[in-house]
Amino acid sequence: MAGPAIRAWKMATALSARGHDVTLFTTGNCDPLPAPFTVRRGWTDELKQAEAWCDVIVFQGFVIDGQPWLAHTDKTMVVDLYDPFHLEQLELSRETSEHDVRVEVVASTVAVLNEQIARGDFFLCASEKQRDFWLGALGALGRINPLTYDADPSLRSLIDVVPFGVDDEPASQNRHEIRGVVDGIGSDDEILLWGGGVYNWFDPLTLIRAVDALKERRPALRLYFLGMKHPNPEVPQMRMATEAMALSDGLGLTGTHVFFNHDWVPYEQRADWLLDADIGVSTHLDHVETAFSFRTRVLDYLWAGLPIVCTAGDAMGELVTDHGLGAAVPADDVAALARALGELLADKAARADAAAAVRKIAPEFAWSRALAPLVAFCDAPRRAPDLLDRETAGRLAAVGRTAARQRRGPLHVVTSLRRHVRNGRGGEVLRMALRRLR
Amino acid sequence: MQSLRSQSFDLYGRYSHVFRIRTESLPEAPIRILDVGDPFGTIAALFPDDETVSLDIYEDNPSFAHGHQPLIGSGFELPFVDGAFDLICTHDVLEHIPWDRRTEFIAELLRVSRGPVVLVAPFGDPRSVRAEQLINSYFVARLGHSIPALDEHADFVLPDTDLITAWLDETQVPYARFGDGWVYHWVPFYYLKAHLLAAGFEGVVHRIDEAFNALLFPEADHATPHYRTTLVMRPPASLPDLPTPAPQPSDDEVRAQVDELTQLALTLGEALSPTEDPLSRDGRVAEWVAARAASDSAAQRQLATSITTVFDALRETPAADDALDVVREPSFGKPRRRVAVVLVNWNGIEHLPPCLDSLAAQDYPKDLTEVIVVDNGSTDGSLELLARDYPWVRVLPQGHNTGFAPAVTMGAQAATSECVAFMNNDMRAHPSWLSELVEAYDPDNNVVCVAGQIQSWDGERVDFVEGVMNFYGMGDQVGHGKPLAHVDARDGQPLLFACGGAMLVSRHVYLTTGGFDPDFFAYFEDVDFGWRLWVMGYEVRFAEKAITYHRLHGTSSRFPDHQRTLLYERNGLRSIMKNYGDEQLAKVLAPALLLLTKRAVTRGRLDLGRDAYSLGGDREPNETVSRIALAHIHAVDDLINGLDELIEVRERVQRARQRTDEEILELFGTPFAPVLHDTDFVEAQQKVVDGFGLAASFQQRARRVLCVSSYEIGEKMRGPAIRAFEIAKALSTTVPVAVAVPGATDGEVDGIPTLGYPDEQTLVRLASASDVVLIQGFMLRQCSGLAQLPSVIVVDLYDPWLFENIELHGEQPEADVAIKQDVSVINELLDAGDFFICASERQRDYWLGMLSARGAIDSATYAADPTLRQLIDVVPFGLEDHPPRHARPVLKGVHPHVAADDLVVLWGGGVWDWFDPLAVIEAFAVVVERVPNAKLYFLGLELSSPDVPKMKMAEAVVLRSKQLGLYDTSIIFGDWAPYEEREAFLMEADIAISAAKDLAETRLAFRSRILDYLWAGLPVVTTSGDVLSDLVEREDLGIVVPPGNITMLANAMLQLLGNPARRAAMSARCERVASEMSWSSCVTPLRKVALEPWRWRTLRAARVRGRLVTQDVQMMFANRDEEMARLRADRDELVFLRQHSEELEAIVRHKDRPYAVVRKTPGLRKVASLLKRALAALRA
Repeated sequence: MAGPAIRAWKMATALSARGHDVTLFTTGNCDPLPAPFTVRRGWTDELKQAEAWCDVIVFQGFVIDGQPWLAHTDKTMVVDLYDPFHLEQLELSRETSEHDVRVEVVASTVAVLNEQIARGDFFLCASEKQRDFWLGALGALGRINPLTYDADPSLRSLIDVVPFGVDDEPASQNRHEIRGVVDGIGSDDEILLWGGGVYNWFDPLTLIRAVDALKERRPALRLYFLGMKHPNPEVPQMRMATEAMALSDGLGLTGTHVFFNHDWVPYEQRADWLLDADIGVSTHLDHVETAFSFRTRVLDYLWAGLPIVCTAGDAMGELVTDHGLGAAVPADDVAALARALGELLADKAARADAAAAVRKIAPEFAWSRALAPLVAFCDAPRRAPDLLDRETAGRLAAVGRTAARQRRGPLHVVTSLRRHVRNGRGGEVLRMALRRLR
Repeated sequence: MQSLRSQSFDLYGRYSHVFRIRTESLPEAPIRILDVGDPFGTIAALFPDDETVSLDIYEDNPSFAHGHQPLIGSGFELPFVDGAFDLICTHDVLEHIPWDRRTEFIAELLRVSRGPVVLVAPFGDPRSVRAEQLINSYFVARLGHSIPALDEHADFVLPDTDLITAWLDETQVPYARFGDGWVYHWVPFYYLKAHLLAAGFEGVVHRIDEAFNALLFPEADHATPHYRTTLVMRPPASLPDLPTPAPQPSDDEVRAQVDELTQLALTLGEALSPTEDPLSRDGRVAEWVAARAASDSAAQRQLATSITTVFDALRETPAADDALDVVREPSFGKPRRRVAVVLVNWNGIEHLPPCLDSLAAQDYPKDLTEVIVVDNGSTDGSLELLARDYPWVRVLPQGHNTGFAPAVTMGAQAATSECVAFMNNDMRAHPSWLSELVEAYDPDNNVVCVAGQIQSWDGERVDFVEGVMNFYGMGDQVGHGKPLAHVDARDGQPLLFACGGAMLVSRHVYLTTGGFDPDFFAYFEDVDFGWRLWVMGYEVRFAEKAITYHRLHGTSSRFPDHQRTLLYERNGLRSIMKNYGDEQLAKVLAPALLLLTKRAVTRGRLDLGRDAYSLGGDREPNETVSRIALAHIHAVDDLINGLDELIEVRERVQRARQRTDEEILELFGTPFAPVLHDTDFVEAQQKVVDGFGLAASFQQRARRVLCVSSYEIGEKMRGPAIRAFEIAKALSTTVPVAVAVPGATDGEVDGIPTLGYPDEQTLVRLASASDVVLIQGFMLRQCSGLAQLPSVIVVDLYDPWLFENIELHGEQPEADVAIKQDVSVINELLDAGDFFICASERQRDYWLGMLSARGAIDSATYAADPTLRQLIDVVPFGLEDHPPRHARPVLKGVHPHVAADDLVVLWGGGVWDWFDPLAVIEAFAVVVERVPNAKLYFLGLELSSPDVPKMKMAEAVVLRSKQLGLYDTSIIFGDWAPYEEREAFLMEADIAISAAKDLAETRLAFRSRILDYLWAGLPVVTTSGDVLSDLVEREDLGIVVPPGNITMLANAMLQLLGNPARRAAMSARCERVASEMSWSSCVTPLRKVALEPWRWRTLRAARVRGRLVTQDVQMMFANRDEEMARLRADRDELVFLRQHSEELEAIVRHKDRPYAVVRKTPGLRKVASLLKRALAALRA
């Protein structure tokens, strides 16, 4: 499961534990685990049935884009904005597209978000920093108004923070997957773990260079990239992943100090890999996207009690600095990164302190706690006051319709098709499109 | 109907019936007409003499015509009494209504009308359905998107004629029906339009519509099968003479027609290949039409006649701008640019073969290239050679020598491509010349002109790599004639001009900016053109790899010197008189003329005979003078003869100015290079340059920054004024800065000039003279002219007003209007600003969210800087650079209730509604019991500005302290202290306090008063949540307590008051922290903008902000003056409603239909749509 699916799964788990009747609906591929709630896979017809059945709809991402009718539901709608994917598009579209196309792609992605912001009854995001950002967007689209404000001047009942959580049960290891197992990694080596995929906004290159700089002093140093393979086989490998492997090859590190895992790591067994590491690392470039995203892999480090070395500047960097969980270093600074890693590896006591601090803070991120605002909302769901007021609602509906029109700009067909292909639904959408054309 | 003539034929058809019914079948006297489901208010123009109302669920740039009323509402619940209208129409709405509610909608229309109801909509005939499918799929194929409305038709299913008519029969509503949008027209004409749109041929699309509406409608368009059906319910006695639909044919016939339609569409789609000009008489479309004309099917023959009629009309009146400029592939790849190479030839027969052969060998796609030779009257057999050997060249023989510039322009006009490339005939091009030029061409980023590299014929020497110019307009080519290796050529470098002998330029830009000035005849027309492009905001760039080889002076060396000199001198002068701005031209013109005279003397060797001109010298009146000397005089004379026209041309150029001279001067490269190298002339030039102080005006001028303050500067400065002033002061060490202040007088404060602006015009004038203008808050709304300036607009967003204003307006009924206005003001600012500053990283996050929703975070902005710090950065509040002064005691021992040894707790500013001084007063009541000599001093209660409404909090604070018996004894309220005197109060206090409520605003707030406390070394007790309380906590500068906790607040005060040692330690830390927070370091992000404003101006040109994503949102939030006026009127009416609340309540309680009552009540009618809100407010 990738991030969004995990998040949805945890939400469903927490809500059904609370006694709510929950259906987890996916339009993507689905290979269901045993669950205490209903898991349904389907397309428009099935989703319409589910919509009619439920009281509250929680969703994230492009759902309305594929199912535009959903925007007109009378049901209470919780919109999860934990992923500012329009900022991601700025970077992603950079290398793939021509200028006009980029303008369109970015604009229609913004429109997708604007449409849901105009319609949501309650919003979730992943950090206070994100909340500040989304408050701005809500303000620009007219959602901060006397009605929402008078209902709760802190606006927490309009948008609240549900970070990514860590499993409530502590991580436990069944067997070694890296230490003494991977060819070239011994039982007593010092293992740095890159606990996820390598996307374009990450910066594995600085990390590999830092390993190169450290390898003389710390010959037992090993860097292990866990996720070279995306859970969804249709997501293409990104440029940065290729560059990371090329750099490591070029420096002669691959197989001696740097290792790339091209195999599949089942979500339920990831602790076997995590607990083999000494330090969890996450480095990224200084982009607006990285400032607002929430690095979920770092939560895995928290869960596994790993000291953390990461790039400063986002919510995670702040957390690491404020609570002494390891070190947060400036972006794109090999020397600083090497120094931080070197110091932490050399100083066992400091590492133990960091690990203790991690274990201390981890419970604060337990899913059960993280999801509290959502659970509280679902206990007493209500429509947003400005969406119940006829006049304000009319205005907001118009904002939503405008956004809907823009989202369906010239590239809508292309981008949505690409997205569906990625979700493994290309065939179906294509057939649908053809049906419409016939 | 005339007003609709130029609209889409579809829309025209739609409205034609109601128009005819209104004009032909109903009485002439004004009537009331309602159009349901039109957001634009189309009927306002259609029926100017009637009272018209348009209603839709949203508004889209609605008409505000006299007698017209746009309304927002639902068609299921029309806000009108029964029979309120004489005529109701609704166009293409029924099919967008869920099928099970359609009759409900019609019933509501019938209820509100006392006359006919005209319902126009496509109905679900198999032929209409197929027609829609065909069009929608063609749009997807050609334009890459479907038509959303048609998608929705498919989702909702087209209305079933039988169901609707059966319902009408059942409810005994009489009706008539007829159709339009003959599907045999509808589909092919939509195909043509989609094709033309895809080819960027928009002008022709409109003309097709016009011709269709004028020539084909209505006669030819009413045939069956028709796409649209008009139902006239309760028809008037006499209906206009319109054909009723033919009876439904058999299923087989319908099937056959569906097939025929499909065949028609598919074959037409094939004929419309991406490069097809449909108007061409021998193209594939013409073939297709001819085949239709010869068809057995009467329908097809009629279609052929219709298309021919429309096309003939278009061909008769061709419009120049309709040329098929950009040919795009159906995919969305980079546009494949078509290029026309234009050569001018005058007796250059020996040059033509190598030149044209090198063009034939270009690697640029042949289907995108055309070659045009403009022949200036050659007599050497060039024309014959061209006709014989180069049949693929288009030759435009002129018959005589028109000059270079007119010939080039002739070629550009004749071309049909997006770009034109100019090449001298005595050149040959490297095979990748064209593709390299096109590669560097980037009109989206203003690079509309690309200069190629020119080398000598043998490829060893430089001809052109960089164009420079001196201050009197003499262009030059850097490194001309030098070996290649000695000259530095930088790919992509901005150049003042491209050599006219080898360049690429947008054809549209070339033709619309005036191109090469025809009056130049020859020489420097390229310098003048390049310079003009920069003035007009475009860019010229160098493409190093686009190489041509030139026979040096192939043609021009055949002219004698004096002829060339005249052209050089005249054109140089003409060029500076066109392109310099007023200020610079005034400085430069006299020196230029002085030096021109000196050149006449130098070149003509005139100084030899000086004695004859002294009094008493040789009396002989005649002297032989060389023609080259007189060429200079002729040059000036030519200019004088054409001065009227020259001044007109100059004004056109200056009106189009987008860049200041200062920005362009940097591109001159060699402003003081002498054009002659005789010692005499060089010395003369030096004297003139020095004597006129020209060097200074060509040096990099320091940029001017204007900080606009909405309030006065000086004593009793308010927060926004303080900020504007301090930013100005800090920036003044880098660039010249002035502060604009309201009022009429100029002055100076602390060495910073203050410029008074009594009105909006003055402010715009001041701002336009500055490179960078810093504005705050509502400034733009008060002075909208600021948004139009070429200056870089920096918007200071240090304060997230939205929250404050909601709090401020919270309980007033007009709050919603006020907040709508706020959102609109803020969105305007976000659209207008080139750069934004705010006070903290958290605020930056918030504003980034807003900017993002506004579409301001677009790919251009991101490409310039992925961290977006070039879009918005943090300029917090700084501290003054001197320690606080304490000139004289102001409180302790001076105030009657404050003894010298009392302990003072200071509240260092106003009591805005989002603060929580009441909690402080409650806590202080506890404190004063334990520490009787503690005093709580409020520095300012009343505001110094009358335009801010007095806050309810101030009243509450006074009241509460009176209730506690502490008023004016232990709790003292000061008058708002002057800016300078404030320091004394800070110095006399022992601790400072700040308390705010737990509001959304708190997290984003920047409580600048806490900075004052730090500055004065005052330990702070503050509530948590904002960025500065985080600082207090982190640096241990005081005690931070959660908001609203009175006990903890009291404890914190007691702890500090009772522990002088702890206070002293905190005080020392405050001073250390304060020493690091200076205004001077705060303004760093602004320094960069002040020094390099052009960066931001370039970005402005590239961005798409406010255009793509938020256009309509902008409308929703009323980004227009008339809408603002309406909002204000709304507010007044709300106040009115509040005043008359009892009467209203009574009306509402006793009637079933409150809207009807309101409508009948004079003076209240306009507020019908506001009634509900007023009632909600009343009931609350």
